[in-house]
Amino acid sequence: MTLAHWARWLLWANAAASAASILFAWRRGFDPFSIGDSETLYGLAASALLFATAILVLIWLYRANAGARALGAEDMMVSPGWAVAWFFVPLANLVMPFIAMRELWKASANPRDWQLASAPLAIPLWWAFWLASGLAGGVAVVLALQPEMDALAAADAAVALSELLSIPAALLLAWIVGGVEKLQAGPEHLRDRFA
Amino acid sequence: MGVSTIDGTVEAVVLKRARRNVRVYERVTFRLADGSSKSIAKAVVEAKVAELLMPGTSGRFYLYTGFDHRGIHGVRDAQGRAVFGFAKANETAMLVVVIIALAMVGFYLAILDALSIWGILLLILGVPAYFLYRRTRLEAERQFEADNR
Repeated sequence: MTLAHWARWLLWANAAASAASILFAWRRGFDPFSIGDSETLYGLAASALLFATAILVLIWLYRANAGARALGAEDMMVSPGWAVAWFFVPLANLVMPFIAMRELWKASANPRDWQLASAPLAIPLWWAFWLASGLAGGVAVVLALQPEMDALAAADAAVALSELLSIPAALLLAWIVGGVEKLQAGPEHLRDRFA
Repeated sequence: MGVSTIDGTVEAVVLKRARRNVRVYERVTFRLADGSSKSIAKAVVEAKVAELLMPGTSGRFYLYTGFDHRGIHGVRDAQGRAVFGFAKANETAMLVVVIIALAMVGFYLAILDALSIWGILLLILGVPAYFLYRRTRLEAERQFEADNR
């Protein structure tokens, strides 16, 4: 199994975990005061899964970016290190990871003349779902900090919405990871390099 | 981020927009010596350099890649003409952002005795961006100058 395979499996597992989280919240009527021990344990396990997935996907992103360069892509704006680092730079992390991923796809599709290559709709869609999920999560945090009881219930619903939006984000990212891996292993690159 | 060169002939240019001394090209396609072609998309070019960026121009083309855009900052053509020009609009804009952010932070601290969140966010964005733009420009200048010897 390659790193990309592991990353895809973990992303699929995350999508499933998010769906299960929504189911938990729905079954207790989005009442945050009836969260049981089993759901708390489940939440911890899902967080650990998310953390492991993030690490693996970032390692994959670094290697895939370096791989595109090794295939001959020149003048890429985002280096392997920055492809990872942009996720942690405030404000810039709203745009730059998307640019890095789009560039990675193009450079993998046609390394020798990548700038005119097209990128699939899945990339902007992934990023839109990712941002929307993050926004819903942010709203949940703000609501959870309010003293009113109603706000806590609303925060629980916002968490569920964030989880719901993260499902297509994870599935689309899994598709992108698979697509980039396929492009980089494509026979056309081998033909280019050994012609 | 970095600089590079292309030795070849301009095959096609598609201008996207021209504003004062800056041209943004949808694409610039070069024919390389080995017969292959290479394109630069969304290239920012200073007007002086853009004048030489015509189909048929042969020579060495100097490229830079910033953290959020790319461009062509110099040409040495087969006729011996050498032109350097770097579009500094983004660098200047970031400097203005930093100055405004500093003024906001200073105003809030001095008059309102509070922290301006927007001022701090703009500083977080503006300061690194300014230095990254500046570093790219200096690198481009050094590259073009070094090739002059």
